[in-house]
Amino acid sequence: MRSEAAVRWLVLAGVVPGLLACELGETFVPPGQSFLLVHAVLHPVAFPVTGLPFLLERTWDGVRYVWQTGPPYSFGEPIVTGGGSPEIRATVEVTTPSGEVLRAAEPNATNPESCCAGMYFVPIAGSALVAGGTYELRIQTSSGEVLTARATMPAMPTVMVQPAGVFDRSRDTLRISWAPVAHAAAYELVISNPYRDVTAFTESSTVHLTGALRNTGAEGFPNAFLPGFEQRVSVYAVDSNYYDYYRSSNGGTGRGLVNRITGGLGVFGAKAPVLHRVVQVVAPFTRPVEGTYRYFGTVEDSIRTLITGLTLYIESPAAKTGVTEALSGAYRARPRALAPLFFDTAGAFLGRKWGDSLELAFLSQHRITDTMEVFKARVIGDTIVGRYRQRLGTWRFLKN
Amino acid sequence: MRMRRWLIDSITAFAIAIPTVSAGQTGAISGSVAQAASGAPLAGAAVVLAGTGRGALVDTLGRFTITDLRAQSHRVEVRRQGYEPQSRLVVVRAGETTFVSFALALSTQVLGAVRTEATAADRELFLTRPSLGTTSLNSRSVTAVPRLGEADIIRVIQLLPGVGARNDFSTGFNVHGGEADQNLILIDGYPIYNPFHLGGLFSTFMDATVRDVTLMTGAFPARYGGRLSSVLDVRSAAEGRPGLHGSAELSLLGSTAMLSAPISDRGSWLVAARRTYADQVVGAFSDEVLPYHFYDLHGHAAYRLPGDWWIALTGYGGNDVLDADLSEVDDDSVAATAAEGNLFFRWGNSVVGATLSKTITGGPGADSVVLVQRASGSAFTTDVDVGEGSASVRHTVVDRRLGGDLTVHTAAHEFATGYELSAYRLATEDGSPQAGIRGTYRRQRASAFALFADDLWRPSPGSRWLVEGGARLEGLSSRDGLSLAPRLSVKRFLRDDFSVSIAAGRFTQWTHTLSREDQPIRFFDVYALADSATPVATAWHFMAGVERWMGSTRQLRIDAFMKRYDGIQEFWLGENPFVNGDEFTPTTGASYGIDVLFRQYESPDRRLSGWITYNYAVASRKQDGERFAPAHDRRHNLNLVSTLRLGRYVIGARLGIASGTPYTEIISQYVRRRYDPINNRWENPGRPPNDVDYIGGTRNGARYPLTQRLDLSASREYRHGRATVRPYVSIVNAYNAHNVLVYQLDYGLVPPVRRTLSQFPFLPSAGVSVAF
Repeated sequence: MRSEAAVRWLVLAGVVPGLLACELGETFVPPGQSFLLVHAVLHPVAFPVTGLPFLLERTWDGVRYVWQTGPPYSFGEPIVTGGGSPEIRATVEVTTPSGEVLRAAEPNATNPESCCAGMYFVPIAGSALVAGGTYELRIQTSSGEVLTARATMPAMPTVMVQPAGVFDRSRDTLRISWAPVAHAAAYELVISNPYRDVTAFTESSTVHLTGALRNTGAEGFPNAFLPGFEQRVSVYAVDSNYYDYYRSSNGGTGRGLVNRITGGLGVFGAKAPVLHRVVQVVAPFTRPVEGTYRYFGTVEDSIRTLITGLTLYIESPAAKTGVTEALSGAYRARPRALAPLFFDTAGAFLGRKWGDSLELAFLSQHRITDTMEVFKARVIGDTIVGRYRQRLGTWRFLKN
Repeated sequence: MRMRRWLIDSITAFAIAIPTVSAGQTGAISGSVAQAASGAPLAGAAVVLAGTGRGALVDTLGRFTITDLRAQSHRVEVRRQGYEPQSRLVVVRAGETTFVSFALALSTQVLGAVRTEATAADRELFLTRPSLGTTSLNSRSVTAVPRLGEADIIRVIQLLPGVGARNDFSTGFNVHGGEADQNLILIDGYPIYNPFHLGGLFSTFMDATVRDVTLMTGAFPARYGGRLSSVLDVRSAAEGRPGLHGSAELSLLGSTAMLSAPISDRGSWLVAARRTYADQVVGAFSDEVLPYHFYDLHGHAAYRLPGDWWIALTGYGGNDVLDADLSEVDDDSVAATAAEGNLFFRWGNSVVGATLSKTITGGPGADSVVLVQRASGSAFTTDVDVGEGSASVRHTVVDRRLGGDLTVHTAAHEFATGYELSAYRLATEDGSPQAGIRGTYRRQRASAFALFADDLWRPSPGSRWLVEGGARLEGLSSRDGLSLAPRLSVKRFLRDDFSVSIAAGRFTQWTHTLSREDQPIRFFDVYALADSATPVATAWHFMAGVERWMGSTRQLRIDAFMKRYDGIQEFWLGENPFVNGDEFTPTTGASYGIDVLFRQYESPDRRLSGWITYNYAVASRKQDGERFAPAHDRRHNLNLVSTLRLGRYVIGARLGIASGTPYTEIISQYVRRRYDPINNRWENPGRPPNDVDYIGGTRNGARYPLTQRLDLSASREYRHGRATVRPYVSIVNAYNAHNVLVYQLDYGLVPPVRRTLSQFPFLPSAGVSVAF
């Protein structure tokens, strides 16, 4: 939804250079420079024990690989597994409006092999944040570099949790409004999405979202709302630091970022939740293959099957023949004793269809990066017949 | 006092010179006036009937008509500054029009030993105006220059002295170190904004519709205003031959068609159209989709109304259109790129203008008075839409003008005074209609006025001095105060073929572009007006030059320039879309340099024509205390352009060698991380990370390497009856020089890698033009 992204896409897609420019090859260059980078956000979460996780790292300079190697992403190791070079052994302090100095804990300092390299947990309880208060960040590295910043906390209204509902993306419009929040520079709208969350800033206190909305921040501009998915729509009040950092960037020219960090770059900002709403996205069934299916088999197999039922949609029909179609939908999984830890009992899937062949990826946590299982099948009349990637056997689903 | 008295007498004479004899006892004189050497129309010459106070001014087609004359003999005198006058006794018969032709030779008082042969427009300028830094091109010389696809006026302009371009992909041009938005581009005197296609790869001007182009690279006269760097005046062609004529051109890019004809002996008209067809060809022969095209429409007409008023009309409309169904563009709509929406992009210009003019001739010591009244409307619109309203940008500029001037021609003076009233309406908005989110929302309305006076003075017919001085008084409703912009140019002929000139002037600009000057390709410009938050930009020009003609077709010119800028408005990268008034950051600057031009004009006895230019220019800017070189600062620029005519063959070549332009070196990269407040953790950025930003070093502290390019072309003319067929081939970058467009750095690799994107590679093209 960011217009600059749309325009940037045009430039980067490069009708002009794409038609005529050539790549003249690659050259090795000397290492660049490395700068201190901080990502720190004040937020009134109810996590008084763990505190707020701030990230401190070094920017890329070509001295080491940062994302090409290593383990998959881990929330407990966001910098090392997320394409960064952590800065450890730094002193991270936040001074509150009352003058109290809160020193962040660095779990990695006591146990370097455990986790959290570059993570510093500031012991701020959400209830302790002061609306309109100014917080000062000071970081000093082990080599003596100092980084400072200042952020103002927006007011923290009572979070509106609006009732969940069904959202038919073919005809519904989601109208959301809220009361203006003091000390907010802007509001951030976030729509959860399996590819990439849809985000946008607005200065007004009302939005209306149509089912045709596209995620212009994701490659290919997929639909923002996917039938079968449970998606959260949230609104946050953000301060100017947060707003300026995330609305600007340097881009390929190296200039343009609004950086409010002294001695480094990044963000020390604040965001307060205003509103949450969960919608179950649906769409009308318009094609024969769309519909609700249930597992069909022996009683013995019904105990072993992973998926017990699914609702299938053609998320994006093919624009021309010979092209695969995108699928989405919701699934129900067989309850297991350890299901809450290992398998969702209900969730969503994405997939593709070409001819009468299907491939479905059942997602965990509604994230495309976390696939629980893949199912390859064929459509035979009202039946979907196929095999799981990680399980033996052939499984059938019959349309209701 | 004498001039004013003459003016009153002239107007009075015109007012009372009403036909007092019956229609049946009158006739008319009609005819043509041309240059003796070349036969080219001698526009502006005065045709006077001795002793009557009646007369006419020769039009751009070289024609004149005087009606309601007594059926008797009349002595017809023809005069034009710089030419030997002629007179002839013409007999007028009742009820008939007597035709007479004149051919004037250049005045020996001016030329001395120099004799005329083929006379070019630039030679005309050399003899009759200070013209420092002014260059003219006609359509014929433009067509001969090698090019990609069709001939392009602005790409040839980039090869002239004092002019540079950022790279091969840009038809924007930088004059004497100025930004690309500092050039006033006119079509028949009406402004046109952003006349470029395909991100700047081509201009909107169709070669078949252009008669000539004049580029003033500095210190231009007071009748021009609103821009800091230059004036590019493009004039539409006018058909002077009897009968219907036309042309068509097919190139690899698109096709152009033009029709023109005179309107009896009272005027002419011209219409032309161009469209690219690559999208049609791709769709017809493959399953692929190329959802892009552009088109231009151009019309021009001139007509002599009763009472010897002339009306000229010009219309232009053109658009770039990208209309992509993303699911058609993708090979398959797999889950990761499921796409069904559209990407729509439209960007275009429209111009409509009308000019009414009349010449009043006769009077003691005066040739003529020319009255001109002009009205125009120009619009530039940009529409970008992603996902049917998921993200959209819309920008509109509407510029309406009313202007007029009065020019008095005497033996020693060409005094012009005039006015211009402008009304501007600018609108910019972006956001997401599908989400009900509005980002930038800016509306600006303003009006401006300008009064100018300008006098070109030659103290005596044989004087070796030419002085042009004037001033322009301007005001903008959205800013307080008035601005006075003086202009002065002085030329002294040291010899008949050798002159020295100096010029100075002050210039203002109140329309600014929100463009990222550091981006190598400008897709489209977004304009904003000066207002309470954004000042008017100003510049001072100082120029000096020498010019020598070796014969009438060979020219050497050396110009030096210095410019000082104040209040240039550069788009502030950190501007908040929700706030109006923070779009710009003020910048000051300066530039200086020298241009050398050696030019051989085409003539019947010379097969080889062309020019060599060398520019040395230094440009600097200062912003927030930081001094840097602007991205268009190109120190050395050498261009050799040649055309060889061998019978029916025309061979063209162009060699360009230039030093590199500055850029900001990328010195680091980083991942922009997003916080998940629901789970109090940091989100997976993806692998590879999907939001990686770049860190630049010293602003424009590095320079791209030298660029060089050789372009070649060849065409042959075939005649079939009335038709002339000219197939051509052209090769751009004939030896495939690797010229850098931009570097892409990847500091995520060990060692870091720099990828180079190139400018034009080796590019052959071919086409054919047919004219009848």
